Amino acid sequence: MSFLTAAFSLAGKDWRGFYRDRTALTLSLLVPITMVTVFGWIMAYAFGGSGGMPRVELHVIDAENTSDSRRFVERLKTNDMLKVRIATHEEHTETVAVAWDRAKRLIQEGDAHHVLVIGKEVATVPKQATEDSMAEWLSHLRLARDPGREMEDRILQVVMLQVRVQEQGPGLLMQGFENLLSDSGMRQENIDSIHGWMANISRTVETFAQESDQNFPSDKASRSQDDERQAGLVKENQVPSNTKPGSEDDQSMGINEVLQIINRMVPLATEDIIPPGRRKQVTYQQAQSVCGMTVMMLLFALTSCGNVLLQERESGTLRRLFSQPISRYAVLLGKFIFVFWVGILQMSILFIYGEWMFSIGLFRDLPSLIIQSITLIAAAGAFGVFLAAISRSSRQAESLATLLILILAALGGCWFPLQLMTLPPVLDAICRSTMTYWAMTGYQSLLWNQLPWYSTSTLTALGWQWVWFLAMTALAIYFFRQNYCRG
Amino acid sequence: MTVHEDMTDDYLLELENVSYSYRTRRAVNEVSLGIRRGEAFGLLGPNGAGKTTLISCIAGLLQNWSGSMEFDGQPFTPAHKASDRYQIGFVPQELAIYPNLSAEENLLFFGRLVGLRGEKLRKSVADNLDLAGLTERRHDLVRTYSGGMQRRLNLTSGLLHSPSLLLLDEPTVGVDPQSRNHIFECLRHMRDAGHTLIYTTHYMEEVQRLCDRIAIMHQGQIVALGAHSELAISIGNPQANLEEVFLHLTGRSLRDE
Ligand SMILES: Nc1ncnc2c1ncn2[C@@H]1O[C@H](COP(=O)(O)OP(=O)(O)OP(=O)(O)O)[C@@H](O)[C@H]1O
Ligand SMILES: [Mg+2]
Repeated sequence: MSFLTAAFSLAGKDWRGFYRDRTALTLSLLVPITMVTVFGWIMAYAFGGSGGMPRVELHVIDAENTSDSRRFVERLKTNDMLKVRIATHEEHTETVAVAWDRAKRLIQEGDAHHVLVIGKEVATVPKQATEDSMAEWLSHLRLARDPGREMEDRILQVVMLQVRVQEQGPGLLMQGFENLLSDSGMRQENIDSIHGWMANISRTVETFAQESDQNFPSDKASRSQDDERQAGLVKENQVPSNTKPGSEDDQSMGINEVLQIINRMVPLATEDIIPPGRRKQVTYQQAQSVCGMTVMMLLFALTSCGNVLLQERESGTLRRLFSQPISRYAVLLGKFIFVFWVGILQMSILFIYGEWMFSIGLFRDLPSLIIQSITLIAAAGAFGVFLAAISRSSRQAESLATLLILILAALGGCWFPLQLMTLPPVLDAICRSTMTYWAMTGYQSLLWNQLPWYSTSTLTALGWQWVWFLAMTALAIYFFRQNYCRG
Repeated sequence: MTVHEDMTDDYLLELENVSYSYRTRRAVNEVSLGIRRGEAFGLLGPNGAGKTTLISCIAGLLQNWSGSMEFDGQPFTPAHKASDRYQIGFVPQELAIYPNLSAEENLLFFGRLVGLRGEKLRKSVADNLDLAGLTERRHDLVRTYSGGMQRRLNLTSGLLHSPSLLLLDEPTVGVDPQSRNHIFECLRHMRDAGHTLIYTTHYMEEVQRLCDRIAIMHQGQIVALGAHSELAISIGNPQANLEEVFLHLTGRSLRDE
């Protein structure tokens, strides 16, 4: 047989085998389709559901309770980028100082990452000399924030700017940019010509926007961002006069410069609250992705270990085991124990390595870490054995594992932080029902929020993981009886 | 053909109308037979006759068989009672040993499963390594063994607790005459030590050498049972060798169903 004929015959043989294992075939086709769907879905919501920005959770304590403050809270509530949680004391009896203490506690205990306190006495920023009422109002606000939540912080700054623009119109923006241009050394007549040019554009955009979609308040936000971007371009392209040639890097405007401008326009008294014991250098996003990858990798490792059950069957050793004077459930339990050991080993190595590499204080609360890890290993191990029990071949089990794990990881927030998403109630409930979600929550409250295992949020997470463990174990036993013990 | 048994026989295992079906396919059909204490019993039959299925019923691997079994005069339900399975040493047709463990580790593992511990376990493992002729290579991984060595290990893995009844499903397939002889000597040794053997094979001369009585199975049924000489007489040719008896009873065309 020629080389190619032989190769094609082999390919044909494998294809036939592939085609014959219908379940494995369906699964392998289903995997990419499901992946695309799930990720498309999640991604859509990750960015606000309609192409906008992700939502940031902002706790608000209104210790002032005036018509102005209430109007301001209402305005925040209608903002598309915010998920406003009212944390105001029910009877408005809190003094500003008490409210501020409570705000700090909320952050220290990991229940919030940004808390805005409204109250006259909180003013720490000197009143601006300008005549604008908004600036005066800003001095009523004080923000307590978790410095690890950089992403949320940036979004929040944009929101504050947006609120201010809503209050005072786009003229404020123009003013801000003109200040910037003049700071960077542009001559006044150039600034004036840019002003005229920008005003034209802004009028055109305004008319256009009013005609097309008056009903989307969020557009204002994206429009103001556009303006910003344009301003950035203007700076880059037209203001080389005073800067030295050959240092173009210095001219481009990074996110930090933009934030500085915004900050200047919306001065807000802010205080960083670091929960006790946290190492400063870790950001929430880092912690999130470390946890996410840990959880997902553990699931992959343990499901592939669960396959030993199928391997026993495929190699014929299961028949010998079943002829021994031992219970068949002992065989199943043996697989559980094996998978559990592998999980412990993997986790230990991962954590020791992680601590050595990044020294993020993993072992600060060893008992809590062990309890959470054992819980997850139990749940994930049971999941692996369950997959082996429902599958007819190891190939089937592998496809099924890939499919389910990737879905669980996406829904559980292993890849994108779910906190930033605004999910419709159904999807939210689905996400919250996954084992990965609770594993993530468990690790986050442990590693990020520094809560012990007996805190409510950790206990809830642990509880749900045990529910998963029990459900998976029950299903594994059921399908083991069905698929291995009949005949 | 009906088989009449002497009622005074001392049976270790008795089957009464044992049947088993895989979904719609009836693999074992109303099999009744008695295995005498201490005998080597040959179970012959073409491919697909139902030998492995019948042995699986006795070994407790299959549970939904109908009919009844008695062991030592007691009802026998090996699929449900671990103590019934303890009576049996099962050597499956396929190699059922762990290729990534050494011979010694395999035997230690299976020895623990049948409840051996400590000195008893060590002695049993050493004896069986010796029996398999693997003492020298006991620390090597099984996947580095030749087919014959793996077969020998497969055999002895079922003998560790010295069970009273041995179920041997084609223990000699694919081995050279030396290994076959070795396995053979093992089995003869077991029989002489008082173990009862049920032995399936496609090698007629093995059965002629080892077995006291022979059953010929065909399409799920026992079509002949007795000593070789009795079977030869029953087909009307006392001079016939076992192969002639076999072909006479099961036909000459391919039997694969
Ligand atoms: N798992 C199974 N599912 C369905 N049918 C089966 C299964 N195992 C065996 N059979 C069928 O049962 C019948 C008896 O098979 P069995 O393996 O008992 O034969 P055997 O006598 O051991 O054959 P061989 O000498 O080839 O080992 C055959 O027709 C076979 O196709
Ligand atoms: Mg067979």
